[in-house]
Amino acid sequence: METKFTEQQSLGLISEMITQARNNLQKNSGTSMIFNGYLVAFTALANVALNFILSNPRQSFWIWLLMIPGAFIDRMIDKKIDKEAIVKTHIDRIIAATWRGFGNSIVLFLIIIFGYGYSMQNYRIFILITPIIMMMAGLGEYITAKACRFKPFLYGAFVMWAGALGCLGTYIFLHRWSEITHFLILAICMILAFVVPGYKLNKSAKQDV
Amino acid sequence: MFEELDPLLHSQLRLAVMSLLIGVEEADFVFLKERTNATAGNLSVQLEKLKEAGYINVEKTFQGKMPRTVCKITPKGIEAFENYVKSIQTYFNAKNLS
Repeated sequence: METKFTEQQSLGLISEMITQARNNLQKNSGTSMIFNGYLVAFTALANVALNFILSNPRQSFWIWLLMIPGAFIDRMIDKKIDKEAIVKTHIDRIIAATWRGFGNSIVLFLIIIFGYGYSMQNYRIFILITPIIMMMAGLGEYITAKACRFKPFLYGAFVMWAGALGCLGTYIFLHRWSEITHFLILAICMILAFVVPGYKLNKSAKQDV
Repeated sequence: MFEELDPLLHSQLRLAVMSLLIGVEEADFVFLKERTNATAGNLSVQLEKLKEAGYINVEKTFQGKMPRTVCKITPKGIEAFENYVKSIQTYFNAKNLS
């Protein structure tokens, strides 16, 4: 059955359908953020605990190798969501590219900072790792918030940026314990800036699709 | 004198499908059916017409044991859609002048 209609009605229909497609959120699109939020928060807290348990506290940093299998699991989650998605928007592609770029930047940043640190025998610069990664994560969340017009990510971006500044505060005021407090700040920020908005996004996507 | 509207697009369901597809990378049959409130049979017929005209690509796959139909607008479809919108604009401009 075909329904012919007026030019005015056709303009109205185009506008309505474009809005519907634009406002669509992929079902479970927050799951990856929830997973990464919990993974990083758990690893940061485990690092703090191991720092007190192990006879050589420096060994506690090896816990961060958990990020490697974590990245593979995250990729699998993304692939599953992508496969099940009934619609893929241009915004989904931009957001996915932003976070892939974030992942690549972190790997590159770690190579650079460890390269400089070990070649100059200046291990103090490693103190910059947590705040700089938080700053980059804040940027990723900011772009995501603007692209999908989802306010909780915007708050998340400010939480990450505030956390990065908080790291500087702990270095000034709690000099000896600054590395450990960095991880505590990171764990809190990951829950507030990734896990909470992730759950909110999934809730919105469930209502939307 | 204004351009004649593309008869293939000047139909409610086909235009709705094209308007949805212009805003996304690709969309599943289920998504199009939900958003247009069309029946599966009617939607299938209209998708076939758009496919025959080269306006969309229709890919049929399986997700597990379930069949899946994914639609994507083609460059020819984008051009046709843009021309359609331009024709409507011309129509309204002419109407406002008269």
